[in-house]
Amino acid sequence: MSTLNRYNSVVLSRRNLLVATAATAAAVAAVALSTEQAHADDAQTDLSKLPRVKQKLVAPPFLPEHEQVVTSGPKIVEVTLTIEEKKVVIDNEGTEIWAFAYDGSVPGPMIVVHEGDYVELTLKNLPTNLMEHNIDFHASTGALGGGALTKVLPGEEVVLRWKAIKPGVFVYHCAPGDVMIPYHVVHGMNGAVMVLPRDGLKDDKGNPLKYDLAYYIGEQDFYIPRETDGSFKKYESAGEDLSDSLDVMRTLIPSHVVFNGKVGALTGENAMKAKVGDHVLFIHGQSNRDSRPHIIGGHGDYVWETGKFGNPPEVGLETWFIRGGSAGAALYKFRQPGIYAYVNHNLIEAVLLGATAHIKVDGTWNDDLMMQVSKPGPMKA
Amino acid sequence: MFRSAIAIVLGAVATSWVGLPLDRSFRDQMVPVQMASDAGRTIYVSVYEVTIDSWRKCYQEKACAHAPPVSALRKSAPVTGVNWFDVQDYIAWAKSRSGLKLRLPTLAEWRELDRSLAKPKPEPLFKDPRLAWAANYGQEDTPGGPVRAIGSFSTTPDGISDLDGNVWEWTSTCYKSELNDKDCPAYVASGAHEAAMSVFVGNPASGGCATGTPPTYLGFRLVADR
Repeated sequence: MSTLNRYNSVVLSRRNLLVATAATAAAVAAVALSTEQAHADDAQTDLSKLPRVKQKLVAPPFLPEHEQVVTSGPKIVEVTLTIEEKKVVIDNEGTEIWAFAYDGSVPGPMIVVHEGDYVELTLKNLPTNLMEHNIDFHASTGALGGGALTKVLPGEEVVLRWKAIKPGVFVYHCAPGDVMIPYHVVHGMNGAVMVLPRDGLKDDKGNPLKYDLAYYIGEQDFYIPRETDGSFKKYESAGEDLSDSLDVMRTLIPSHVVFNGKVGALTGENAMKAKVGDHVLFIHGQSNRDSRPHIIGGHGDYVWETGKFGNPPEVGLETWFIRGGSAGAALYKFRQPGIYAYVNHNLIEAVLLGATAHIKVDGTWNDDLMMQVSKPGPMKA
Repeated sequence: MFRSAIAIVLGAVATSWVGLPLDRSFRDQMVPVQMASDAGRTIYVSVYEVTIDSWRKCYQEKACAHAPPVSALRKSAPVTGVNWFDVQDYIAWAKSRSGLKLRLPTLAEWRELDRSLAKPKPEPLFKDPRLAWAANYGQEDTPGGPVRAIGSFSTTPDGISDLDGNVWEWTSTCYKSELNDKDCPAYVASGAHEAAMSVFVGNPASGGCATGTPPTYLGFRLVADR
């Protein structure tokens, strides 16, 4: 445990606490490694012959540039995630949290590949950070989703390659060990991966499905500690809220449930946009807690509720369920202009805790689908 | 209405205060303003919103049931989280203590007080009348942040402060002009934009699933007739 020794000699006791889980987790990593080696004969692809492409990641709710259908063979998709511990404001009242942000955003950026591709991730932990971090990809196979092989201390980087063998949308999150796992996840340290089938999305009869636009909605539950007077506590540095946070987390009652890291991050000027006739793919990730997306005024035409494209999508849904620790996808064609609300249809969470987004849709109103036959007026006898 | 009955009882209690010296501080915090919209009639307008400190006095004298919010700003913070009935309790108490004809401003008065700060109305988002319900989406200014001390925002040429702050103010105008006070379920709260607020609401929602943007905080200021 040379890294631990190094840290024991130089850092504050609080920082020791923050990396103390490394010892147990590293032991798990050793077990995971030997298991992987026993099955290494499965890997026959000559990776040196595969083309390499760099994917430029973008902050949610947007997705990186990608093809929906590919005709070429597998490739190695290189991505870099830089971890930044940063103070962010999460509501209109100015409530703060020290977020642990993959590439500086909550949630982290979405990675898009195709089934059979390889994701080659460079994970960097900024030297200005205070904590150890890693990444567990639910889409990957082995070593705790890569978590056991990607532990990086501040100032370190690591490279992990994994093969995308399961098509679907999946979450990724930090999992440094013990209480640090939920603590990091509820400080915004999660994101999503989409592994598309090489021939694209299909309906329940095998017909191709295309989307004109795609948005990634990362839902985040926050557990902000309060002062004795009821106001939300503020902290000077990352990790200082650990003990207080764990107390609030243990209640399982979040103080905030938000989309894209902040109350109102996807409303007003930042509302998602579409046109009548657009087929929009909404990918909804929740790394910790159950959710139930609903489009107020619309539907899910094709919904992969469990998010896995090997299963046929359900059709014409009202509300769909996202299990904590998973991502799901819904494809919807907008048929009316106006404003739609995309909510977690636990309406307490939507309205009081923040889980509301809006979609502004341009186009021509269709009286056949809806019309106000008479305006509100006095009741007729 | 149930709460109105309580207010009447409190009014009766208030008569026992007759004979106490009147509290001059209410009048001292007001300035006269000539209302052009009302033939130049003069009303007295509070320079600031009602503070937590003042609310606490009403609470301690058991005339206000709503507990004052806790704030690190103490005396200088506007009271927030008050619904329509809470505000009526306070007005009844303040009238008896001050001897003034205190009341909430009407929306027309509020707009006139705010005229120097009002911004031009932007083009509607949708022009089709069938989309009137969505036409103002995203055009409402909603200043956020924590509650700040009174006097932290703009002051108008009339000498009135904080009309453009993050605390919206109850007006006495029903959101539907044809309804009287007995039947009105929601009044207009004014601030950076106008919002119809249910009489039961003291803390507007933070997320908001309708298309409008809710006020950040709800408070109020008083005016007095001569």
